[in-house]
Amino acid sequence: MSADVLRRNNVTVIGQGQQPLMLAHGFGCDQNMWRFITPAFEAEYRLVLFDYVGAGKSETEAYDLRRYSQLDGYAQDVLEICAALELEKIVFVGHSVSSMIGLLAAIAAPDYFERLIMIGPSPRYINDDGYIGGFERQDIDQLLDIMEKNYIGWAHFLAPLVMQNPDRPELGQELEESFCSTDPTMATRFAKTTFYGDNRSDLAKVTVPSLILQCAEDAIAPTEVGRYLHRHLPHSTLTLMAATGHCPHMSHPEETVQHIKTYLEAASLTSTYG
Amino acid sequence: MVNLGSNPTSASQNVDPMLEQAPCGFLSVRDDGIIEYVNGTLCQLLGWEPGTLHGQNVIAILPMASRIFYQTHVFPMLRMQESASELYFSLRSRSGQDIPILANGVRQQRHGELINDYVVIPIRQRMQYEDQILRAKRMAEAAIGAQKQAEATLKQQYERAVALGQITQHIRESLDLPQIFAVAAQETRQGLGADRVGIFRFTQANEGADEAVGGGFVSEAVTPGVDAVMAAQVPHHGFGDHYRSIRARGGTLAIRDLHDLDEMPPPAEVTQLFSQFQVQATLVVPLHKGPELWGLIVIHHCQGPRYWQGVEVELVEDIAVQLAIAIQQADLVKQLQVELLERQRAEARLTEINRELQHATGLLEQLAHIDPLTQIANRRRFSDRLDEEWNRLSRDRLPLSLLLFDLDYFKQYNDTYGHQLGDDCLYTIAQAAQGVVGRPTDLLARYGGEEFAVILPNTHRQGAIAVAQHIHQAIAARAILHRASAVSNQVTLSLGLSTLTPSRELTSTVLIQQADQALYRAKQQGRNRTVVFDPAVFDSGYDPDPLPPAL
Repeated sequence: MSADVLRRNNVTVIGQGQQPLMLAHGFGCDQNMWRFITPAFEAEYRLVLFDYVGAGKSETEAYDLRRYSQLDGYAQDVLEICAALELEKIVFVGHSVSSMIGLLAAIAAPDYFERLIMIGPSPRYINDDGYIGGFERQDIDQLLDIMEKNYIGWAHFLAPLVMQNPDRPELGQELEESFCSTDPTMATRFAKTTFYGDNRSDLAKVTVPSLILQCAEDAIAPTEVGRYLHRHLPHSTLTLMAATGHCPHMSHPEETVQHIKTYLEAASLTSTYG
Repeated sequence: MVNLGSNPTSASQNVDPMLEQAPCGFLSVRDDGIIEYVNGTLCQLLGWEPGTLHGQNVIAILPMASRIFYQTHVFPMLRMQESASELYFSLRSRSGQDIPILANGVRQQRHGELINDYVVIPIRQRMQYEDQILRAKRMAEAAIGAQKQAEATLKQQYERAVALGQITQHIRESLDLPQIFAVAAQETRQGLGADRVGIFRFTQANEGADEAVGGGFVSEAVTPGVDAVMAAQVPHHGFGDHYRSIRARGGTLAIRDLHDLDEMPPPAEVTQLFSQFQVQATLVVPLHKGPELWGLIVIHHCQGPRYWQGVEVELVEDIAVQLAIAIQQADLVKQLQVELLERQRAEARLTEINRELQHATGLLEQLAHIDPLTQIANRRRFSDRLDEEWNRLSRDRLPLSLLLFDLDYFKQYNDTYGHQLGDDCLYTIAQAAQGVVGRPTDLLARYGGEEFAVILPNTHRQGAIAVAQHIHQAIAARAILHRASAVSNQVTLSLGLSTLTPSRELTSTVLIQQADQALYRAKQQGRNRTVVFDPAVFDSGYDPDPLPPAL
């Protein structure tokens, strides 16, 4: 069972420390995205990386449309990995939608988790009455259209046409592989689950302390969303980053590492653990 | 590789004029999203003055959806893989127009910093192409899907029609309801691959609106190895009740999984029954007789939950219609049988009455022709018969003889022995004479008071004389004492005889007159004798020798 889970989610464990630091990638990516910050933690932490089913090198045959039509399904995967590795007192770092996945896991099984660190989180992306998420529903519909064209249309029959590169037929294949999710159905499903979701009512149920890393000029998770989250999430700390964009661990790895370390040191969750 | 100017802060002034006016767009973006360079071609496309986009965040030229795609796909790919090709998204012009583009990106070091460079091709026309191709593809897929669906539906409908045809035929082969139910249950079970098919009948006594519904299974078919509900004789009151509460919402009840009933959970005793008989899924279809709910077709599936397909439900509903017809027909047959039986009884009764009537009529007729005292034919019968024989024998030209006889001194007998014994005497004489007059066509009748007549058709004079002698002997043999008789000490008689071959010119009266004349002579000549009428003698006044009473 545990071996199945580890294979299913392509779980990788690195680092020389004992304190578990679980790194969960966001929508559109896989565990490779963490490689700019993992060197800073390897010596002191036990780093647990994985791919969600449908992303990276996960087992796509394990994909279950019903299970992954809700973030709870992904949270269940996280808990199964925790159980398989017999982890305790985990520091969970989630990017973007993974912040919400970690939050749901921490509500379901708070005993596993010591801290939640959320990078660019949002409990709801679509604007609602009195709530600013940043998007309208048609924006998300358009995103799905863009994704479909990128994953299916171009890759399969338009790319060779546009590229005018008949001597390089492998190009189309390369293009497909360059996306972190190879299956358009799963990627589209993940996008819907992520961007049509609403986890605002879950926030008050969280008991695990958390850090919100809010980027400047984040087009996906605006600063208002970070503030909203901080207001409604018990035991949360809000850190406004100088980094711009939505992926500070890739665009500004040093600053990201610094904020995480500062937070964990304050919580006495460094190499002294164990 | 792209050749940018030596000073990044004044890139726009120092860029290669070739790049500035290249036929494709060119865009340089730092990791933090700040635009470092946009070439003149792209500026023009987006409606910005050359150089004005420099220093702005890239999200300024991205529509909302493309912002997400840029942050979740474009930048991460370039960051992790150093290059990316054929990325499709849109740019937003200054006037707010979205321009679909394809971008190839490469991440390269320049002046000690890593910059993300993109070559941008607007693809509106290609997009339209592609949209058309995608639409056509979707339509083709939809059409193929629809065709497959239509074929599958057609096939299902065909199979259903065949199955229904078979079951209907088998149902119609019989008028016997138990047999019909057995066939229907068995074939429905096989057709659906179900584990148990039962025909449930509501008891008529409980058809009232709010009473508990009673009933039981009247027929059942089960998969080998599956328990029969019927054999266990389960009272299904609760079930019928439950069904009725559900029925208010529509005829058929299809339950995919009885363990997962969130609405209208059945009562505990029903759940217990389901569990006792391992029922996992059930399909219940009402059976009607005319407007009333007669019963149910109850189908159980025991191997696991089962989704009842529309085509399966329709099949069972069609079978229910056929059974409803059969039930109605069986009812009619029963009614007809009752009527037939009643008719047969009525006919039998009528026959009986007719027979009685005939008997009564015969009795009446007999009474009309029989002399009550002597129990032989009366005068009326005598006259009818004589006329009949006269006509018949005149046609056949055969002889007819007539005897007339009187008891001698009967008045004195009555005076001596009284009327009661006189009557007894007449009776005895009649019975004695009757014993002699043996042929079916012969007739002995009481002609008057103590006078009797014998018609002897097809009899010559000699035959008639013989009968007359026999009568004398029979009377003598009875030896009825007659003290007051002048000719004997017992009862005797005088007899006149005549024989004629009847003809249409004459009537039977002639024969009577002749016999009467002969009788008169017999009395004149001393009684206790027979006188045969002879025309010659009678006309000439000749008195022949009388025949003695016994020869």
